[in-house]
Amino acid sequence: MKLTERRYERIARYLDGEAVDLDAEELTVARRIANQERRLGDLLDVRVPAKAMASARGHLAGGLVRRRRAPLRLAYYSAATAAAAAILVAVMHLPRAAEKAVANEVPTAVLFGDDDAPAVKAELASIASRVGRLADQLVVSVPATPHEALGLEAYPAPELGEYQWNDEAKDASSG
Amino acid sequence: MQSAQLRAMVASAQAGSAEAYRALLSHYGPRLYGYFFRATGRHHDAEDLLGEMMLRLVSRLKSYDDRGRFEPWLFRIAANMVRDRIRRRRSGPVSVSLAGDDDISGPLPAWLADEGPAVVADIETAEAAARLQAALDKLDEKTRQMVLLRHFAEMSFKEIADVYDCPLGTVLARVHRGLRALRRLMGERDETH
Repeated sequence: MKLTERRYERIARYLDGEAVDLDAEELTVARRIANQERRLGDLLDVRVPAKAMASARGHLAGGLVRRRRAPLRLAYYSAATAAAAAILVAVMHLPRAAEKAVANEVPTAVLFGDDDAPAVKAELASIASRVGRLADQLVVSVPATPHEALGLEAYPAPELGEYQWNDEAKDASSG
Repeated sequence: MQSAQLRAMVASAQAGSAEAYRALLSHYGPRLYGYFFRATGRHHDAEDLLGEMMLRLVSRLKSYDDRGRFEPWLFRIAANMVRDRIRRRRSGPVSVSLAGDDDISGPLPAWLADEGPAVVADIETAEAAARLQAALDKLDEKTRQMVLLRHFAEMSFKEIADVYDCPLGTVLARVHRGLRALRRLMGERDETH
């Protein structure tokens, strides 16, 4: 019995449960296929070995554990990647940032020799005033003797007679 | 299993319930194993593929959209695994089992059989099963897959046509020819001739 593709399609839809009005020949083929499938099905089934099911349960348990750990693993790799990226960015931008910082420390007016700028004048005047005050303090507080500067009591002056190598003492004795 | 019950089980597994996954394995494990065994002809391959299938189920179940039937989705993955396994086997070295049970087509010995409800039909004899497996092996791969998916996955012809991306009439024509060839190869009288 030869069937066209179109007739096979109609039979397939009928066997799938659709309401298709088959002719007698198509109906015969449909019943025969259904019958053959049923008989083959009885032979196809196999017993599952207990060890195969146990092995599958083991695989399943392993898969579930791995899935539970997956978010942690993802978080770990994400954090590591982010840290690596941050280090890379820092290494790339650090020299430029340092250059900028140095440049910002020096006033632009001084860099370009513009000492007439009001801000520079004011700063210079302030520095000059502070230097002057410090100089006055230095002059006023100059200690009279070195031991005063060190905060020590003065030793008594040596007896001239005892130390004859003093030039003045020599002169006095010779005179 | 009722479809509502199955949907609840799948949804529960998608939510991460290990218990639901185990229930899915208990329910579909025997059918998947039978499909793998009949498709590859080896218990070793069937066991291996069933384990691998469980891993894929865990990793892919979230992508299952419950608007469609679950079996076609599940067995589509299984069919792809079988196809890959057969291709690898063809391109790889031939392995010979010293135990001699790699290509046994007959029923399993009692010590290997599951203690749970029997899946196998009682009428299966070692001789008939051997003939059946030999006959299945002689079918071209696509026809064999279609015949097996009809039985183990309980897929409609339309669903098989979707899996293989071919016309509905072509699927039935292949299955019809495959069934006739099986009967002939197993020594049964073909009713059509």
